[in-house]
Amino acid sequence: MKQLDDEKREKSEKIIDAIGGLPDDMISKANPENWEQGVYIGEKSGINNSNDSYEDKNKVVLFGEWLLKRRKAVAFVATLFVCVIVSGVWKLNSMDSKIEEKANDGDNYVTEQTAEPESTYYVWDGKKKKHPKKKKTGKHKKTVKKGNRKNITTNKKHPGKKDVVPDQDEEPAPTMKSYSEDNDTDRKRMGDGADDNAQSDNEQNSTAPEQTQQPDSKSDKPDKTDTTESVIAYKNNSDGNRTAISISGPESKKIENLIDGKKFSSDSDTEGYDAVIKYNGNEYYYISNTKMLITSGKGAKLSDSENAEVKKILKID
Amino acid sequence: MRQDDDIQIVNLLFARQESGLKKLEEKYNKYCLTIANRILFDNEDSKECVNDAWLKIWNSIPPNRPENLAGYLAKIVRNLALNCYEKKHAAKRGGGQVEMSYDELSECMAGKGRVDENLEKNELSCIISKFLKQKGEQKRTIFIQRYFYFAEISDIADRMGMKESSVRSALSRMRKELKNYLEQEGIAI
Repeated sequence: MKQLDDEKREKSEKIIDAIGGLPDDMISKANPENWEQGVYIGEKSGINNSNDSYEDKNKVVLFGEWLLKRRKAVAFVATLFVCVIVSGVWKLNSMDSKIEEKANDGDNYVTEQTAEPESTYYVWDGKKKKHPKKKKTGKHKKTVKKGNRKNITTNKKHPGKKDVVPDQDEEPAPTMKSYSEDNDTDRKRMGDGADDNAQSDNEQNSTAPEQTQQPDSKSDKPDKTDTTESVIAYKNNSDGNRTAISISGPESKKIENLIDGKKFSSDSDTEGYDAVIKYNGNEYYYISNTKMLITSGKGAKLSDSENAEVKKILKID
Repeated sequence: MRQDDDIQIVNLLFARQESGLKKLEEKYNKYCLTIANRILFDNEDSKECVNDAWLKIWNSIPPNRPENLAGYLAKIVRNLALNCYEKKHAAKRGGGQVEMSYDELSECMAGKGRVDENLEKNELSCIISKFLKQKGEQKRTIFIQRYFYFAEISDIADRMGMKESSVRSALSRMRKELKNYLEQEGIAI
């Protein structure tokens, strides 16, 4: 093996020596310093006839020597640098996991959102809003701790103020109805729309003492956030205008019991109704003359005492 | 200009005037250091080698009167540097451009026996010179830069405006062609 290597070496030495005997012109012209980008630029004259890269190589050699001498220090610094990088990455990872844990633990702060926000639809016609803006709709989903649930209604004239409605005793949350069902009842109640404007104009002038909540021009369009936990009624005045009546406490309970105890079976017409009671997501039209409560075209007959009670609660003469 | 300088230097050396040596050193010191450093890769050894070269020039001119002083100097410095390299690396070989060149050129000689002792260096030089003259200038330059000046392949690629892979393949093809050429000339051992 060694002999083979020696033979190879001897041969290559012979050729290297022979190349050393090439003509001077050929060697001089092939000098790397005389070439630039594949073009022969000719020999430099005087002191510049040299390889500039010699200085560069000198620097490389010097740096290599310096590195060799200081190899322990360099290794230490490199290790320290790696440690700092590793610890930084580890710290970042631990911070991420802590944030995730906090996010997962905080049930009271995280709400599950549906893919299509409810506020992007109009409640009364089920159509999608053209320019949904969360702030204007006033339908922000709020998270309330389970133990501290309160019925909060927004004062529409003074959005900053909030009316706190007393707690309903263990009342189950009303089930949400589909838009189509809601819209049917809404359309019946709303009429042709021309009345709404007239009503809003009159409402501004009316100063009914029993009104605890002043409805604005859109008061006949029930707000779902306001009615989820309480009974709200709209009285139909003789002049065709409507007035919202907030019913709370025992009166609300009475209305609820009354409606819950009735069976709505007979087909009835809501024409000439005196008031609308909104309860449990449904609307019940009350006609004092016929002593009827009607919902979705089905009616239930009230007894005299019940009728009197309802009239009293709704303040209908 | 260059030729005039070189002729003046040679004339001064012929006249045995030390100013000729000073001018020679002034003009070709860095050039010679570069050649030596490519082989030895050591500043001190390179300087020593170049100093030896000045002495050798002083002793060889006269009687020699080189037509191309740069080429003549390059050959002297290279030979001295190679001798120095052999002395330094006799015990342990490996690494560096010189060793790589040795390895590459070992394939050019066919046959398994030892090199013919009688094979004249000049004869082989002439054959290689003929071979190189047949090649284009670019290929010839690449070959000489690699195996005379021991330049790195990346350096050759930069200076010749080529890719490293192109330089490698060009050198490989030339080695094979040189091997065939030497066989044709009866230099296969």
